[in-house]
Amino acid sequence: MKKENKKFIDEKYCKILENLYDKKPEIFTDYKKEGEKYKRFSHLKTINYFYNVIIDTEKLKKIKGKKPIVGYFCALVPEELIIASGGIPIRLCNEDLHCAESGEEIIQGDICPLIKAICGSLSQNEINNFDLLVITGSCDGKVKLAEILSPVVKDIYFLDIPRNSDYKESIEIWEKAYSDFYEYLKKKFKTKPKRNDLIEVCKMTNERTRIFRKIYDLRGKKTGIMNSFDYFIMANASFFTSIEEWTDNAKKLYDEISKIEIKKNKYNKKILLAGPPIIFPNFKILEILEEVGCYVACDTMCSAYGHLYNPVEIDEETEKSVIRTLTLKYIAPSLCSCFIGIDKQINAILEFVEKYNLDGVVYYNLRLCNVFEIQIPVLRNILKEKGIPFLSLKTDLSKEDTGQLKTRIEAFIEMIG
Amino acid sequence: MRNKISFLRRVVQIVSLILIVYGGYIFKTRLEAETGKPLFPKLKAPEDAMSTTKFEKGKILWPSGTNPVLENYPPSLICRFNPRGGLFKACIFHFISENLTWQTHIKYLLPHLTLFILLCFLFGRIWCGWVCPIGTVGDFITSIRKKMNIPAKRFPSGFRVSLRLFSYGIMAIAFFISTLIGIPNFRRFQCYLFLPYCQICPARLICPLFGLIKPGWKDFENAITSTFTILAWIVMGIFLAAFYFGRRIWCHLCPVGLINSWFNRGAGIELKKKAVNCNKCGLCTETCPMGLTEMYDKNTDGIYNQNGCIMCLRCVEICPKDGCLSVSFFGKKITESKFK
Repeated sequence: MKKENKKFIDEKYCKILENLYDKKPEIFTDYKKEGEKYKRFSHLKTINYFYNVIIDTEKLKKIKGKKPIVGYFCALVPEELIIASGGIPIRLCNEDLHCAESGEEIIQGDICPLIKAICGSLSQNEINNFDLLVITGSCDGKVKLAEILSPVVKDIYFLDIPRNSDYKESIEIWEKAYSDFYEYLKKKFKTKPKRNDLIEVCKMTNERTRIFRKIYDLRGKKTGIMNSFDYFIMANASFFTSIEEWTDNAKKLYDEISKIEIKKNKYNKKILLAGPPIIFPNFKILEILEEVGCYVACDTMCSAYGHLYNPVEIDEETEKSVIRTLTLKYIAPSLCSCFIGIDKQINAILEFVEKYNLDGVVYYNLRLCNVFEIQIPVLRNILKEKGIPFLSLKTDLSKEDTGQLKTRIEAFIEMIG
Repeated sequence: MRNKISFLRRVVQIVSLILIVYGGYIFKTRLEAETGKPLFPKLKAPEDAMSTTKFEKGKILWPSGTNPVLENYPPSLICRFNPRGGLFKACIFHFISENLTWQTHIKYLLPHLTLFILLCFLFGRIWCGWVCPIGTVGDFITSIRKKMNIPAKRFPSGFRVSLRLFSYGIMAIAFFISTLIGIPNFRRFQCYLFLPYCQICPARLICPLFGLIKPGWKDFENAITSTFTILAWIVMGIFLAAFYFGRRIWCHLCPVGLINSWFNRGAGIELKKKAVNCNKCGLCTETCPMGLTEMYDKNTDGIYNQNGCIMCLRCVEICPKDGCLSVSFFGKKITESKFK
């Protein structure tokens, strides 16, 4: 039952596969330059911290050595369990074009660019920094990623989650998956966290959720107080920093934006952005939206909303109950289209459109992400029935189709009127 | 404060426990001292009821011996009694059973009835969650379990339905016996078979713990009282186990709760859900002490006063989506879910 140092590919095959990862990419994205480019748009002082976190390419080396570093993918891996058992969680989802290109060396063909980018980024000597990689079995790409990375990564934990996100049917399976994971972490890091340690960590992440919700709410209500680059940078920074540090800086940010009075607004439309995650430096869509004067008032993406919006509501302070409520933070309300339960997505969109008075919904899809694409007709027809303008875009990480996308978005803005 | 409603509920529960166990004493002494008149008319058993009792006078009288209210109550002196005190009746099951047997005049039951009707029509089944003394004791047992880090047992909905049916059975038998012994021919059984459910209710064994009275823990006078005592201990065991392992699973079995549950739909208090705000996280079902699922299942706006709901409002308190669940009182919103 216990998964211990398991390789997902047999040792003898691993040796053959190892040289796949030998090739080093030639071009790196200049994070600093990219960061500075988006920072110019910002009128906030306290946002600097978040930009610095994002553009810092040495951030892993700084924290290395003190505590084991756990890299994970997807917003479905419980950070609380990792922190409580003594690790440092770092979310590794990557949408770097150059990483994707070097990932192409390893996996070719019509594969989701996010998976390619992850493969590419991990071949850049970064692998040795991690003591453990956690991969969720959410979508097909992630499942195969566990095998692909197997030859080079020391340890991979595969967190298997059923595709049914109905609380009543799957709670027992989720609970077992999470408690097995917790047991594994405790054994691996040789720590014995007490029940109260876990509860303390939950309180910490709740504090983060609280401040994120305030910012999210304020952004929705007041147009123009914080542009979408700042917002996504702020959310993405939470992948890499400790929770307390992020919370403190977000509090400062909230204080600043709550005082801002917008007199002359450069935005003429408020929209909701949905679809697969947007992660720095893939801000192409945001760039276009900012350019045409569209304010991304809120989002339902797992890189911002999905990562930070839901709290752990502890019911009973027993360990089992805390783990159960953790699954109710991460999996049950997850809007990822890997799961059955499009109702949640529709509910979220309708709620935000009503609450923040939005003009429309832009659904952006990363090319080759099937699960997100397949639900477009459902959303389009339902939103049409409700009278909410809906635009779906399909793109990838490259910047070639910028002009075309811009035309489509402009036409959409005109259509809303 | 994080858990405002739960805290308020604890306070109300403790106050009710004190009122129900010591209430008669408090009211009687104070009023008689001030006005010389009791607040409520003194209760007396009907004459013939007294005459048929086989108990010797004084045997199960109040310690004072001067104020014989219905002497022929369970020897344990159950939840509503205390030495030298008056009557502070609250339990609906007691009220109906007593009336079926002795056809007590309505005026004697007025405080009793008023309390019940007020509670039921205003707040539905609020009795179970906020007032019931053994529920309070049970919640205390549950909190011991939480301290000991033992997870709660969860039961399938079919089990809960069968408990409810069983509860109907208990109620039918108890009322049948109460009616039967009210018929003149059967009056001679009154002294043993009166208030049949009250004699096995866990409160019979628990409530005396809070009073100064002699508990009827080992009443083995004859075959019938022995049967009742043994039954009471068995029920007590079920009660303790139910509260220790399964949160409020007991309340599905309790016939008092059953009667209260009829008033849940249409009560002044309303639990409402705004479906569009729901993110389907399932916390309302996860946290419901009664294990109800309707709130989670349905994706429509509306009133969710289910039969099993004990109005503990824990779902409203814990719901992480702002404005998804709310409580209204005759259409006026009192509180709504908010992530604090």
